[in-house]
Amino acid sequence: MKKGTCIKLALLFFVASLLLPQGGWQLGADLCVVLILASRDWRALVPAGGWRFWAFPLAFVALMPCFNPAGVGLAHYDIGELRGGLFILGHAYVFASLAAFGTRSFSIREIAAASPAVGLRVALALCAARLLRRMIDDTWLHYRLTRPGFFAAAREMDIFIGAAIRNAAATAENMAALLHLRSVEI
Amino acid sequence: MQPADKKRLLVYTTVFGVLWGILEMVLGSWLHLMHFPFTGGLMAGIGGIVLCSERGFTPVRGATLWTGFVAVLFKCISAGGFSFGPVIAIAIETVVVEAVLSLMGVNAVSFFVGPLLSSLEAVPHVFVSNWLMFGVGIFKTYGKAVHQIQAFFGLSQDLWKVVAGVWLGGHLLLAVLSGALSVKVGRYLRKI
Repeated sequence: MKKGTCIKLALLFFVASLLLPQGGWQLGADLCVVLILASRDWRALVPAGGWRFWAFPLAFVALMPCFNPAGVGLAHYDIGELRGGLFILGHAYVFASLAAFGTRSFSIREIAAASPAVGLRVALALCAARLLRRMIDDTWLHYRLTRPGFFAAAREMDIFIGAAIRNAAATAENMAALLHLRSVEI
Repeated sequence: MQPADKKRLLVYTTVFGVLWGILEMVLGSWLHLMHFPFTGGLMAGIGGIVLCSERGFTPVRGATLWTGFVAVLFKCISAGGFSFGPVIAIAIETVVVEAVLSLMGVNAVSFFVGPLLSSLEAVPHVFVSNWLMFGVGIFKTYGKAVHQIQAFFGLSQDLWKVVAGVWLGGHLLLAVLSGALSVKVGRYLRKI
């Protein structure tokens, strides 16, 4: 199956699973997404985020059925609610796998090759990122040195934002002049 | 459009898109470290300010969409990698601000309304992202969890309404402040 077809089909079943009520049909749609992704790139199914990411939702799903209007504790454990919680976790896993599949499928080279306008922007963005990162770091450092406390820094945030935007505009003007001087065609 | 203006448009939209991405990385990380409340709304407001400021330099329809597109690209290729929530948030905020600036033009009112609506996007964003990630069943679970917690601690059954009110009020206040800050930054940029 082609990459594009695979993503479209997976998205179709994912949307269906979002619209279906919790139960067998939703589980079926989620399973279809998993099978489609596995047919193209099974590594996308390796749980994203590590055990720490899943530990809290898992604990929440496992412990919530202990708390019922009838009482609190293992004696009042609600299996139906645990089932509902596991459906939610399953859907979250499918969502994470779909996002991982999307990330793994497209490289910067492929994005840049999508169209000349996009390619030029990717190249310019990478150049500008280096310049802007240094500029923002310097502006932030100077701003924080003169406003050491959290409240002082938060209160005069307009000065920082204004300075960052002014410096970014100066960078953009220099880059545009450079493109013009070198007769770069767009 | 003259070739020089085309180059200017290309460079300004790219540089401001990258600026938004870097501000998300530097300022967003600092706010998260400080456990600042409503960080999502605040960063959305700042994004709105960046978009409006860019449009002030290149007042062309679609310029804001390109700026947002670059910010999304930058977010996807930066060290943190693809992150669904922020990427969708940036995309929605961009469309909202583009619509405001295209309909109202570049002026003090649109500079106020753009970041205001952009910041308010953080409110439905919570529900939409939870629905996408966990499915529709999550809201029933959240509702039940809130009622169980209130009953367990002997709290009023309407306490969640107060908490939700404070949350909404906080976002509204932040949105108004973002709009006011945008107007202030716009005035400052006109002077230089």
